[in-house]
Amino acid sequence: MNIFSKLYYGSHRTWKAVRLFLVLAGPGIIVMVADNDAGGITTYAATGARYGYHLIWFLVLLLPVAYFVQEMTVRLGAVTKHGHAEAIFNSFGPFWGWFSLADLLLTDWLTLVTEFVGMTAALAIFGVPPLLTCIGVILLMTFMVLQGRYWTWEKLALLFCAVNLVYIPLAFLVKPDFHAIVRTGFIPNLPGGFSNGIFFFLMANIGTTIAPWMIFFQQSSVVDKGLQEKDIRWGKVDTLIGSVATVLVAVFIIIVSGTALAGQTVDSAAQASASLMHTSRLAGTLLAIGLFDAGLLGAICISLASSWAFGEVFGWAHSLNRKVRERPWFYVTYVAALITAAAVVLIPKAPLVLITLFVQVIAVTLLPAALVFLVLLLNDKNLMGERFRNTRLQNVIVTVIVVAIIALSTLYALSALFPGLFPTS
Amino acid sequence: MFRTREKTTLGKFAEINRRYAHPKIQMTPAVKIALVALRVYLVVLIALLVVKFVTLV
Repeated sequence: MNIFSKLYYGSHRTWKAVRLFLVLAGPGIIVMVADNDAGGITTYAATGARYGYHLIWFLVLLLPVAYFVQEMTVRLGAVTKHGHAEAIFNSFGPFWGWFSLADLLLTDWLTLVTEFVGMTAALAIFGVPPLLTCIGVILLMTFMVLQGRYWTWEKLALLFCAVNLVYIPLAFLVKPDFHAIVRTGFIPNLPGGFSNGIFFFLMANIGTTIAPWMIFFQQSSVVDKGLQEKDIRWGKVDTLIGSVATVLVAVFIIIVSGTALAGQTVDSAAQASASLMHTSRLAGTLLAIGLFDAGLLGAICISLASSWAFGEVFGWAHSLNRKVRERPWFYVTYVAALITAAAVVLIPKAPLVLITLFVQVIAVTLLPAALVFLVLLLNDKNLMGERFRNTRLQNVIVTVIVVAIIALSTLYALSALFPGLFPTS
Repeated sequence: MFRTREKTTLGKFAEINRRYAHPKIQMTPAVKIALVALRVYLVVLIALLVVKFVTLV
């Protein structure tokens, strides 16, 4: 075979692999980008405003953490063909099953409320009334699942993921000092030493990187998409690209707020956007658009995670590929979650700050259980077979990650519950 | 009618409990230890939430 034939067949093979990846990609990218939801954007904006570029290295460190946890859901979903809720019921019995399902529904619903808070605040900057935002979002999200094809839903969600990348050009608009970013951002350091304040920010960043709904969502999504065992390696690539995208977006938000809002106290991303309007109208507008998109993506994934989990356990038809008539209860739970979450946001003087705090604490009760179940399931020889169960190295890595996340998130919940427990600097 | 619906709903829960009554995971010592540790962790966390609630009220 001459060099031209080799080149031809090589490029043909590569193009075929790219096309195959484009067909199989989706769940990993969507779940990871949706992880930068309204709460996540606020956390990153606040981190940048308070500590400048100093904590960028910490977000980069979270990339493998997110990847190793989510990659396990791809294998579990593709091998067992069960969502995470069903897998827990099946392997650990009704006690742990009901506990996980109830906790997931509560956490998801509360998080959904925070997504609506973010979306209404973002569009309020452009003069859109909260009621109109809520109605528009509910209609759009209902249409996304009503059309009866997983493929269409996924492509629409990927479109919203692309909008999330708006933070990258936004960072160039505020003209950051790239030398300072490299000098201070990529060398591990804790500005001002270790204190309760910095610990709170580190924990908030971990909390936005790994959330219980992500585990349930990606596994159900892998099952609904119909990924097979032979597709696992593409599912892993999908998850890796998603992990890189989520960390990239988070880093660029920190660059934006670390440059334009340094030294300011940021309580919400909407407030950050309004402040940014004074520096650059376009930058503030892009931040607000990004915040709305983040809230929408978060809401899309979180509401589906709950409806899928419900459907799996109760035995209702829950695939996005099924006709509307065949899965009425799926819509009832999906739309009910959206309407009630939106209604809370529209209540005048609703305790939204308390709800946000509650989300953080309740999520901590579910996260350790979800992570421990995930690791135990991935080690079950009967369930995964020799080929797809965790290797010794994978077990060492995920055990370190899981133990660290459980310990740190517990301390975070304690510091949120009892603010005076740890000394401030 | 309400009673029939209530019965059906309760029946559904009972059916799910029956369907998953026997956990399928291999109960190795590591699995047993992990589940016990998880129970202890959750009991402590819920106790702390109760303490917080009581001190708030």
